Amino acid sequence: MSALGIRAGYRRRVRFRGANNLVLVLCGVVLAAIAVCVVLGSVIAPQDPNAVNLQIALQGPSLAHLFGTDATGRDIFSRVLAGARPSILGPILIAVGATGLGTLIGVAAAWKRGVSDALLSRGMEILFAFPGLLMAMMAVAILGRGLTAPVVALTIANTPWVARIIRSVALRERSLPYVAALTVQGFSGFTICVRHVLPNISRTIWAQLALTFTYGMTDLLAINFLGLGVQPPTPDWGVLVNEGQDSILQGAPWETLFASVFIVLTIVAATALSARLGEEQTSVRGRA
Amino acid sequence: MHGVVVVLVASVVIFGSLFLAPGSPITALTAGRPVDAHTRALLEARYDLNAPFVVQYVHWLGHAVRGDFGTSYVESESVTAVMAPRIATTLILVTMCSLLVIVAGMLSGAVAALKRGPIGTAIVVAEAIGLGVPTFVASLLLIAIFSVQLHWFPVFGSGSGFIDEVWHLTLPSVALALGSVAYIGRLTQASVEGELRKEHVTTATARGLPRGRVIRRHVLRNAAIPVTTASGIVIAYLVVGAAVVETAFSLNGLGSLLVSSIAQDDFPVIQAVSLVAVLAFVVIGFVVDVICARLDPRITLE
Repeated sequence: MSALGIRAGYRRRVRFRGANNLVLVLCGVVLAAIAVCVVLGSVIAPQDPNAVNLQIALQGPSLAHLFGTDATGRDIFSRVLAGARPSILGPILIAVGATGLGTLIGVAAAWKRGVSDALLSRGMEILFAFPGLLMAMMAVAILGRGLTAPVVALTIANTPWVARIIRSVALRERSLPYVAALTVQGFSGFTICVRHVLPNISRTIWAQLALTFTYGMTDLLAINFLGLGVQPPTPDWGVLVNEGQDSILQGAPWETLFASVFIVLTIVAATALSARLGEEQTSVRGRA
Repeated sequence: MHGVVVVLVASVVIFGSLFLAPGSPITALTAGRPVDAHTRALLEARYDLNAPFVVQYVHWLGHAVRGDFGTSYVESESVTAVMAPRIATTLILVTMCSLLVIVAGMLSGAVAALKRGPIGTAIVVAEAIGLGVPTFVASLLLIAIFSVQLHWFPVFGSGSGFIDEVWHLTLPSVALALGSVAYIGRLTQASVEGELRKEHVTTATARGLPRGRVIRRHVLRNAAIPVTTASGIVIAYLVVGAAVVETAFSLNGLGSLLVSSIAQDDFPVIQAVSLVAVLAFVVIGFVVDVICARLDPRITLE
């Protein structure tokens, strides 16, 4: 009887994991396709993404123009492909920067505890009062439009969220017996952190990387949408959504629609990946 | 007390940003427009530009506390006069949006946790999509579907009169709320599921309490605490997210004012709106602490 029960439970778990793997494979395929666009976007684009032709403005999808044409007759499919690079590279910079800094601060705070930990935590609490989008807008006000100001600001804004998660995971890791054993053997704190603790919490770090990517992308593209970041004619996806706004009112939503599909696919895939890696390690961050 | 510290530090950062901008503070304040000697002297006196930073800051803060943020260089009016007519729009927008987040988010999450099967699955899938749609994308898609195709809602503007204004702000608040509803929904679901597994719930059921009572008194009340804390942060961040929807829907609110001020380098307005956003964050945080203390007597306010 009990063997049967175990078998049933086992099978249920396997099926669940199978469904999860399917989602993971789908996400991988989407992200791989986006990565190809980032590297080769403007090369594989069938037409010049900036070639204006007013005679074919605002056409719907057709074989000649898969995603239709925009208000000045540019091929939307080519523009979306060419736009992958500016849309993805900024968020990657934010994710790598914030995760790197956050891991450094989080592990250091967990290791030192005491005054420096308290100081770091206080500092973080003040940073929390500035949502990423507000910080990015203030940075643009100070440094001017372009990609630099919002990328730097969003890196800083996302760092404390990563640091908080990493700190809690590192604290838990620190209390495990293997750390005490290594300390007794005379290994330095630095060696223990780099050689043992970091590899053991790497899953959480990867999950934070993917999650920060999605938050960075949402905020950065919002800045571009608002016209404060990347400037036209660069076909960034946020810029495309904004440019398509007038065409929507004329009954041709294609530019906004297809750029949106690429944005949402990327974010959903990265979120699913992060959830799979980090399970419950998600945290509240402002979204725009 | 802690909130006051946050606002003070934030005000130093916001004031200091004037000095981080390239060029002199005068260039930042006047957006690089040529100024005559008289205006320059007025500005120097107004901001104490020749005094040390600390004196300048205290001077600025003293004015700011009394609601005086200087003059907008784009509108040639006091910053307060520029902001005043726009406060109502943002306030209604954020209030409607918060209600949506709290009601729809908590309801969908609780239903997903308590009712398994197709309804629960549908909610989980909808949440996954809602989390992936940025506000600006949601805004334009809602305009395309409900305003342009179906003609159910107006495309632009804030409307006049309260009822009309609520009508005009329905789509914007849905667009702004979407991601947060999904997030709070997911969080509520996890919280309720966690609470359902606890021993005190089993005990209550074993004592023979009706299921409805167990859920209401023992599960939902306890599950509400982490969700309330998270809702506070989410709502506080909505104030800034409003900038995106207000721009997308051409509403005259504080958020769209912030965006247009940045585009036109109107520094006094940028400072004032940023400070209001941080202030809102701290006030909402305090309200959340009060609510949590009411929900759980073990939590005390400092």
